[in-house]
Amino acid sequence: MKPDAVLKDLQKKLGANILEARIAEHAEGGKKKHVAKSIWVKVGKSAFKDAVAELCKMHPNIYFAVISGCQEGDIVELNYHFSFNYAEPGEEFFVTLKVALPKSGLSLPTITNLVPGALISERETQEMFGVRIEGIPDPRRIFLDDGFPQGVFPWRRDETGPQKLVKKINEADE
Amino acid sequence: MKGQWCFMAEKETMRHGKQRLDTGAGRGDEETMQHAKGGTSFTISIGPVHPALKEPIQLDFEIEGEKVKNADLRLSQAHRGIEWIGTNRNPIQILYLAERICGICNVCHTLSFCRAVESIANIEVPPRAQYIRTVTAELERIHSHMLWAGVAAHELGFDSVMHYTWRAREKVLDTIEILTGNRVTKGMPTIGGVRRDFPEKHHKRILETVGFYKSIFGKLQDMLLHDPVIEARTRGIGVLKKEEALALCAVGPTARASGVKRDVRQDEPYAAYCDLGVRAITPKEVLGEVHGDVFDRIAVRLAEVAQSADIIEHCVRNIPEGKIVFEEKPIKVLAQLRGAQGEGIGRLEAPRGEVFHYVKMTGQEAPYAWKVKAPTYSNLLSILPMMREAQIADIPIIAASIDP
Repeated sequence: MKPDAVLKDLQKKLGANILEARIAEHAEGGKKKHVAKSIWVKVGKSAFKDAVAELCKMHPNIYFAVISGCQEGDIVELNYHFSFNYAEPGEEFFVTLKVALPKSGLSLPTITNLVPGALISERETQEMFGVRIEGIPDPRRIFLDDGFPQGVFPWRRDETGPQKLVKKINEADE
Repeated sequence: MKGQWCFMAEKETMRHGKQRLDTGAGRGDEETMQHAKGGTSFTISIGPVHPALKEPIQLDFEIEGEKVKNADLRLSQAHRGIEWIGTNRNPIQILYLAERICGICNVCHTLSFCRAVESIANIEVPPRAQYIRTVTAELERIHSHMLWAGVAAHELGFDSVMHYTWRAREKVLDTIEILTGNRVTKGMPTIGGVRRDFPEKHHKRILETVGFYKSIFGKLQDMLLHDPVIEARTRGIGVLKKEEALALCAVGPTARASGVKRDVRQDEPYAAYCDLGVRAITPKEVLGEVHGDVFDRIAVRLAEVAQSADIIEHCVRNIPEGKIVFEEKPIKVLAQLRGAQGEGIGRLEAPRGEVFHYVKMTGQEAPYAWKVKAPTYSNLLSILPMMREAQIADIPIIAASIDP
C-alpha cells in the first residue's frame, strides 16, 4: 500500500476521530535521491485502539518501532511509530499515531494483543511518563530500578520530572 | 496471544514458594541456585555482573534439569538518562552525547540524530558527505561484526578463533584511526555533512583494508561455518522462527537470520545507499535454507562483512567531488536550527539492526523531545523464544547471538 492509500483508508474508517493528518516528505541520497515519506496522524484517545487495529488489518505483520512522546503543560502526547512495506526495496514508510492524553486521565489501552513486540515500549511509557497502560500483560518497571523514587517520571517536564534528583556540581554535600 | 510473549512475571518466578537469591554482584559468585520446595525446577540468576555478559543486565532462568523453561530479563542497571540530558543541550552538543550511547555503533546514533534534525530543518547534505558517511558506517559494521564473531567464539569456548578474528579486526580499527583520528569513537557525522574529508592519499589505505577482509573471508568461513564443533554447538540452538521474529518486531541480523528480509539500507535507502541497491542478506542467500538458529546468525553476519567490503570499495571508487558539509561554521548551523520547528525521524541500519531517533524541535536551542531506540531494544523480547527449551550450557551463546 502507498502512503496516500493508507491515510485515505484510515480517514474512511475513523472519520471524525482523526484530528490531524499529514504526509511528510524528505529527499536524501548521494547521486540519486530517495524521497522518504512518513504519515503523521493524530487520533482521539477513544479511537486509538481502533486506529491500531485498522493499521494491523492493512498490514498483517506490521512493524512497531517504539513509543516516543513529550509532555507540554497539561497534556502528555504519545507517538506510536509503525512501519509499512518493510522488506520491499525503497517502499518502506512510517506511520506515526499521535494521541494526546490530559494529565487528569493518563491511561491508554495496551496494543500487545495486536502487536506483541510493543511490550517493552509500553512498560517504558508507564515508568517514564506515568501513563497507565490498561491490560498490559507485564506491568513491572523495565529500565528504571525498583529503588528509583515512585512518582518521579524522567520524561516529564513538570513537578514530577527528574530535576530534583539532579545534584548541581557546584553544590556541596550537606 | 495475550501474555504469550511476556517474560515470566514476578509471581511466577516465586511459585513453589521459592525466593530468588541475588547473585551478589561483584562478589564473583557465578550462579546462585535455590532448590524448589516440592518441585524439580530451579531459578538461576545470572548477572547483573557476570563473566558471560558484556553489559549489566540480569537474566533469571527457570530451569528443570538442564533445560530452560522460562526466562526473565532486568535491564535497570544502566539507565543514564541520556535523552533527558539531551533536551538540555543544543543539537551540536548532542552529537557528542549521541556518539556515546553505544561504543561500537557511535556513527549510527550520531547519524540517526543528524538525519532527524536535517529532515526537520530541511537541510540538504552534499553527495560527497553522503559517501563518506556510508564508508564510515560500513567500516563500523565490519568492526562490529568482527568483534562479535570473536565474542561468539569465546562464548563457545573457542578462544583461538576469538584471537584470530580480533587480530583481523585490528586492520579496520587502524584504518578508522587514520581516517578519523580515533580508533573507535569517530566523531565524523555532523548536521548537514561530515567533519573530515577522505583525501586521495587515504583511498589507497581504505581499498587495502577492504582487500584484506576479502582475502581472509574464505578462512573466516572455514573457521566459523565449516567447523564441525561450531556447527554442533550452534545448529538448532536458540531458534527464532520467522513468525516470532515478525510478531516481536525483531530487527537487524537477528531478524534476517530468521528469514525476514528487512534492512533499512534496502527498504528506505539513505546516504549513498540510494546509488548502491543494497539487498538484505538472509541465510537463504548464504546457505540455501533458513533455520533461524545461532548458526544462521553467524552466517548472516559473516556475509555482511563481505557485503560491507563491496559497498566501501564501490563508494571509494565512485566518490563524487564537492563540499563535505552544507555549512562549515557550527554557529551558523545553530542559528538556522533555532528557527526550525517540527518533528522528525532519523533511522538507519546499524550493525545490530535498526537505530531510530525521534526529535521534536520547537524553535528553541535545545530539542523539546528526543527519543532513542537502539537495535537491542527491539530484539530483547526475542530472547524468550530463543531460550525456551535451551540447555544451560547454551545460555551464553544464545544471549550473545543477538549481539546485545
